[in-house]
Amino acid sequence: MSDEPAIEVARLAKSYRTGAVQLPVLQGVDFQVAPGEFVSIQGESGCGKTTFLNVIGGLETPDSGYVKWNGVGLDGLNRNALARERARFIGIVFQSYYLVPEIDVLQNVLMAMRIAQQSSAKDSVAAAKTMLERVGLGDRGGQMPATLSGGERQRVAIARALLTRPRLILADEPTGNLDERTGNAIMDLLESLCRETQTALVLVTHNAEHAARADRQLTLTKGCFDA
Amino acid sequence: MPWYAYIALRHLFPKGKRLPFFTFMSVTGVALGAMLLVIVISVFNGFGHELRKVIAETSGDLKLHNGRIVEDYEKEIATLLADPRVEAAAPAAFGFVMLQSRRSPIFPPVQGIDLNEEEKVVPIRKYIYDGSLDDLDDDSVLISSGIANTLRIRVGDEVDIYTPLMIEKLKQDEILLPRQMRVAGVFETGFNKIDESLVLTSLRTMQDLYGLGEGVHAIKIKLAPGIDADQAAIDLQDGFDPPLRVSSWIDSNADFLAIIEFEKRMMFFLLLFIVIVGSFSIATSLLTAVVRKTREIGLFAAMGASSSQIAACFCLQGFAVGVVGTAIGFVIGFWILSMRDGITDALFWIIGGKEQSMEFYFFSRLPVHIETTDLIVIAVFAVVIATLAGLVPAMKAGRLRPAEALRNE
Ligand SMILES: Nc1ncnc2c1ncn2[C@@H]1O[C@H](COP(=O)(O)OP(=O)(O)OP(=O)(O)O)[C@@H](O)[C@H]1O
Ligand SMILES: [Mg+2]
Repeated sequence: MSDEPAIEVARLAKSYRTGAVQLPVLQGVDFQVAPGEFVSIQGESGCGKTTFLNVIGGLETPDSGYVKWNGVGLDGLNRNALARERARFIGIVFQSYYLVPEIDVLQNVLMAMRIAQQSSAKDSVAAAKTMLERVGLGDRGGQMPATLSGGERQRVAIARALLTRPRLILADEPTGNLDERTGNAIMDLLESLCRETQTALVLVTHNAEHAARADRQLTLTKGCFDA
Repeated sequence: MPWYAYIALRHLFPKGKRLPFFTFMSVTGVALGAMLLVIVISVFNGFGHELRKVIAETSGDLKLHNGRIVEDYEKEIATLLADPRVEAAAPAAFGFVMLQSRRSPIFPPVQGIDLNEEEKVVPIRKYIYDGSLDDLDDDSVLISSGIANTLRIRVGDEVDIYTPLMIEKLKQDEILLPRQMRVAGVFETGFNKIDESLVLTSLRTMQDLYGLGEGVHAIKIKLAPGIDADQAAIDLQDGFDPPLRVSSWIDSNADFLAIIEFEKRMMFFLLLFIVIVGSFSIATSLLTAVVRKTREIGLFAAMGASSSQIAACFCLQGFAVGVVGTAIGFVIGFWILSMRDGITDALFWIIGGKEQSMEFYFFSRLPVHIETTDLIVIAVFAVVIATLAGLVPAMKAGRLRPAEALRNE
């Protein structure tokens, strides 16, 4: 594995304009994550955590500053190239599970891999089944998402994000919609899988216990990380 | 299968669920249009096809002529018969006469036929329903059913024939004496244009009436079964020097066939609107789907889908609806065409008037001819229109910004 940071951003600024009002959200953020590192981000609601994840995940363009994935700058990439890189480097886990309702669990797990066009269909089905077993849903591959509980859906989403072997997982309050016990179980699963596969993890959370598990804890206030 | 095609398929046909209303309605719309197009166009083709067959049967497949008088026709017939594709050839002379019976005159076209050869080219015996071909000699005529009906002539009646040549003579102060002829038979071919008004007489009489000497106006050619008339006309032409020309009887009836062709085109464009209207429902339903699935679209983008792939996902749904709808429309269309006898009978049973209608269209059953090129044109139009309908929602989906799509509630 390369020594480049999994992700590196500098002087990142982003503001939203609604009518005449300019709302600065990010104001010159510097941030790095080493390969396999686990970083947690906390902050008040509305302080810009989701915005930050979107910008470093390449889903939104910053007003200024730069984002590099594995040493590759994003501003040099066109839309399609950016989409391709995102599929290879980044796995995303959301607060609400966002599974595709029309396809079964196994196909949902395969989705990210199909989009990334990695490996052959046969290999990926086998890998997806293994991954489902890892998240404890080995026998649920044929079920439709609507028939799963919230915790089970989040496990599927984690399996999907990890199947492409990304360098970095961006998780936006993955336990936010779950009760405490299920949330803890999901957190255990996410952490152990990331550590095992040496995938870097950026976790946005309101749960101080979960945040404390990280190698590094950051807090976002007024558009910057507190030192 | 690429992921976007797979998702498109599952949107249309979700696993383990009932067929979505959208799929059902839009497929039905396209299918109805395709079905009507297949039926109507095939019936129009049927009319055209039947007409060609009747023309070829009543006039021969091809004719050899020079625009004036072919003097040495025996020699030309020998040349024609040497070609293996030519089954038979018979001379003929054409003109107009004034035919008078009980003081009412009409001006029908007249044709002189070789009594020995004609039957080999045109199955004339089978058309005669009153009198007999064997009674036709140099002093008698065969008349078409239309003439027989309007002048109320029967077999055995005498009619007066005046020719243009007689009028020429009249100018030179000669006495005008009509040629009296006996009606030897009445015929009906099934081809309106002929049945309305035609007089047949012997070639010798015709040569005499028109002052042709030993000449004729044309040689009618019957081709061996399965020979393409248009190609044969081109090939046979090589054996003759201009002004002698080999041409198809279809050409002489081009006006008639052109009307059918024109009507067919009009119907095609009118019925195409059913497909277009059907496609509007595809477009609106897909637009709603794009709005409803905004977060799902954002998710695909977050997983690294390009905007063209996302657009393709929705465009393919329009395409798939087009393909499935066309296929179903074709199947139902063919099925209805195969059941047409029962359906027309049922219709006539309800509205009545089967005999009159059939007579008017001079076919005993609804003619149908399925043309592959027409099917291809219909299929291409239907699929392209449905795909275009998917294009607008697809572009909307492709333009969604991932972050905003994900924030969508
Ligand atoms: N597209 C937008 N247009 C205008 N303002 C926006 C837009 N997206 C976000 N904002 C604003 O930016 C700020 C940061 O939003 P963001 O979603 O990043 O907060 P957050 O830290 O994730 O909050 P939470 O913890 O509640 O999820 C908020 O005040 C929000 O209203
Ligand atoms: Mg948030």
